[in-house]
Amino acid sequence: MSFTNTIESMCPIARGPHHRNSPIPVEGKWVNAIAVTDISGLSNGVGTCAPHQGATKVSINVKNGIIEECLIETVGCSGMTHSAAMASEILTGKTILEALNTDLICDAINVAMRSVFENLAYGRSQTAFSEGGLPVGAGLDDLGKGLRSQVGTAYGTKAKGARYLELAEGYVTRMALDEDNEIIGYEIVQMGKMMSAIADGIDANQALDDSKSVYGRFEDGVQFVDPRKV
Amino acid sequence: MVEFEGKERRIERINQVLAQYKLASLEAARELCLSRGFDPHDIVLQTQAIAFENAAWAYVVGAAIALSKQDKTAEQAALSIGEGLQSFCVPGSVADQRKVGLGHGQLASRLLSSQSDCFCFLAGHESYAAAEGAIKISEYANQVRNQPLRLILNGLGKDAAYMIARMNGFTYVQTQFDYQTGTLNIVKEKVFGKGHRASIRCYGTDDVVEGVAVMHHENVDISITGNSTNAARFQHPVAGTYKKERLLLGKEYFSVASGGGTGRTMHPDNVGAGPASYGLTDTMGRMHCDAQFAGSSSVPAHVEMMGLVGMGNNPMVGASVAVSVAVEQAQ
Repeated sequence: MSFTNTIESMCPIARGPHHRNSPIPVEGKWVNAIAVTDISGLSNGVGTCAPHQGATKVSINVKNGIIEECLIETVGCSGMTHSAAMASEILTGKTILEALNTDLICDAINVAMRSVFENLAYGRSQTAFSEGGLPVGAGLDDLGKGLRSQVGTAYGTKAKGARYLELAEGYVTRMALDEDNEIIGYEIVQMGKMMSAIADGIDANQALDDSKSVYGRFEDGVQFVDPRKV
Repeated sequence: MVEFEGKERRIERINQVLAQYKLASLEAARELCLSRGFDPHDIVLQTQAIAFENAAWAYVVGAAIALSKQDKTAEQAALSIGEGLQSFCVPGSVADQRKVGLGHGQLASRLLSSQSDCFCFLAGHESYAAAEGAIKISEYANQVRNQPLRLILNGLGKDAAYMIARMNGFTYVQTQFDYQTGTLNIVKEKVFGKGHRASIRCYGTDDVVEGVAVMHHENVDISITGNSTNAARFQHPVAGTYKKERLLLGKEYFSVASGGGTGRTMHPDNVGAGPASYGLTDTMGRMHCDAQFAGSSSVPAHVEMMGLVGMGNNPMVGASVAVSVAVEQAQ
């Protein structure tokens, strides 16, 4: 390290305070995080791109600074699905610091990664107070039983009203309307369940029927509409 | 009856153009192409499977115009295809104002001319789509060119470049830039594919300086600059810087600006996390480009929103070349 002449010629004055940075809760311990490897935990971050056309959720499980597990879920943009595919391979094995300055190729994924980093650096992980954190694989649990992102898609116009396309229960195939033309229920297909059945060798049409269910007062409907067609 | 996205806003102008070339209808335009042994509609959907129906029909009209004008070479046909694409631009839209339909035709024409030696997809973000365009060009362009056209991808992200090369069968070129001396060192090359795909060289770079060095190394003389990224980091700055340096060397460089920022994001960077982000790109694109495309390098919906057709700009370059070559081969 070199010093300028001005600094060299100064007389030394003692620095009094010696308090360290504040400890953060990490997997049940309070840690003075100095290096990135001091940080562990599972957390999520959400980001969007500049035009807010797509959004990403990134979930990472970090052990001693290294990303051991990642889940990247996207909504809204076809291009970012490919970026997510790449990120799922790029992120693991990197430290969270490296992951900030690596090339995740999509604005929304980068912003989501930045958000997760902030959570972890400030001790705001889901595993702040759970001893030993969560096992690798916990991130996948977020997807639920069907191993499919939870996607909600609803559309509406003033002229023609609302169309439910996909809700927590599944892919909406029909909406039920009452005598006043108001939505009172819907029929859905649980995509995860259907695809598992097909993978197990069940005939596709049979699997489709087996995965259908209804929500609300569907049976009371006086009219049924396909939200994608009518 | 042919149906496609946004037909009501487009059909009047399309009909005018069809009439100008004595084509009775869209169906008649496709029949004409089919009778000469090729189907532009199919070529488009083979290039980018998620392209909209209107993109497929825009190329049908373009190809039919080329046949009507009896364009003899793919280079000429590309310009006619540009007219077809332009007829699909929604009047008053960004795409219409910037004449991006004609611009696509001009780029394809230039790519097919002997003037061009090395074409670069200066892409990073969502480069699977750049790959779709590159594959189509490598398949078709050299069928009609005397000198083979060299193709490279030069983008932000070495990991992404590796995976894109692996996924598509390109040759990954790993570089290490020496920031002290300004030297570009090639660390290794890995060939993932066979045949024409393996001849496509795929570079990933860390920043603008290295990106420009790759352009010089490959002697790129024509490029499409893909999606916008962090203003300080890549793509538009690479194209702009390289253009200045090429001109100082007394060499030509034809630069096309494309991507999500061009025409869509009109304001300074408002996200700027990590290497990839939108921002300032419309302005930067205008500063260096010889032609500008509106919308997104890859996402059909975003190009459709700008008033062109639903197909990523990068795949469109591939489709324009492929259909142009098909016209020449039909003559």
